[in-house]
Amino acid sequence: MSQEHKEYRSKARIYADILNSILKHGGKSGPTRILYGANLSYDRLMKHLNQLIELGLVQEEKEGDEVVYKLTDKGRTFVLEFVKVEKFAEAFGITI
Amino acid sequence: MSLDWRLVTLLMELVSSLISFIVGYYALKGYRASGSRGLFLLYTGFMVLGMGIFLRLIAVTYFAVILGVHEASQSQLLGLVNLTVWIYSLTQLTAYTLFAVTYILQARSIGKQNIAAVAVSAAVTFPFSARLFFNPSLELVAVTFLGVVTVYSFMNLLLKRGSDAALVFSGFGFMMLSHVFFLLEVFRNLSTLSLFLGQLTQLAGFVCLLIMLARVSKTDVPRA
Repeated sequence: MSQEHKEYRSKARIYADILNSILKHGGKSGPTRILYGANLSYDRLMKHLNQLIELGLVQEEKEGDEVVYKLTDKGRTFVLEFVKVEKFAEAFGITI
Repeated sequence: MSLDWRLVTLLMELVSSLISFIVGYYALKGYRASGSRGLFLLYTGFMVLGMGIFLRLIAVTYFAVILGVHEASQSQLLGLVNLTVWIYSLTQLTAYTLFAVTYILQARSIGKQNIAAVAVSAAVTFPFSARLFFNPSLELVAVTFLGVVTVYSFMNLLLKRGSDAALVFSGFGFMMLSHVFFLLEVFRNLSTLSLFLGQLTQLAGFVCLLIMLARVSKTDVPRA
């Protein structure tokens, strides 16, 4: 008997995926690149990006006509901590 | 056991207890960052385990080293010693149960819940001969629970094939081995050696976890 599992990402996981996506693009990225990297719809991405801005993990900047999102030091620290936690959890076989 | 050996084993227990608290603290940090239920169970488990080992350490130091209570003693303190042994064993079993639950929840397997019943019935059938500071029946349950945890950590190692997973598997494996040695304490002629080897393998298990923690802490992400 097979059971289909739909994998839900925690809020922290989604934040980490967004921040990682920005980091992979040199710490600064436009929304299109981020949504592909974090595998999110545009609406959900914008909702999470606003939360990340409020938390001080990301800052919004204008580059000509484009809006880009830049990782702050606090954001970089969050990514680093999350990667460590993820490695720790993985060693015990825990998915976060 | 001579006083020197007892001090060595006490020192090993102190280090094991401290490492358990450190791993627990790291799991708490992880839980705070991610909200993962598995990490919360791991945090609770290692904290309880650390407290149990620390309690035993205090009890052995006070009753055996300072007051000189031993198995042949007719002292009324033996009742108090037995109570300490039960508390120590139950804290360990609680911790191992939490570890097993963590893995079972993660695997979402069906039918593994019977493991607890098997462990309890194994304990009941085992000869109940209480020894000073160790309870063989509860040690057997501990071996069973840690056996489950070790098997799951081995499965995780097969999946991940990483050094950190290997260290966690070794850590739980050594801990299980330590309880096998504590179990052998029922054979009086092996008592001193098995107690020492038990403490040594327990420490080896915690050192494996500490090495894993040190490796994880060194992780870095590319600079933006």
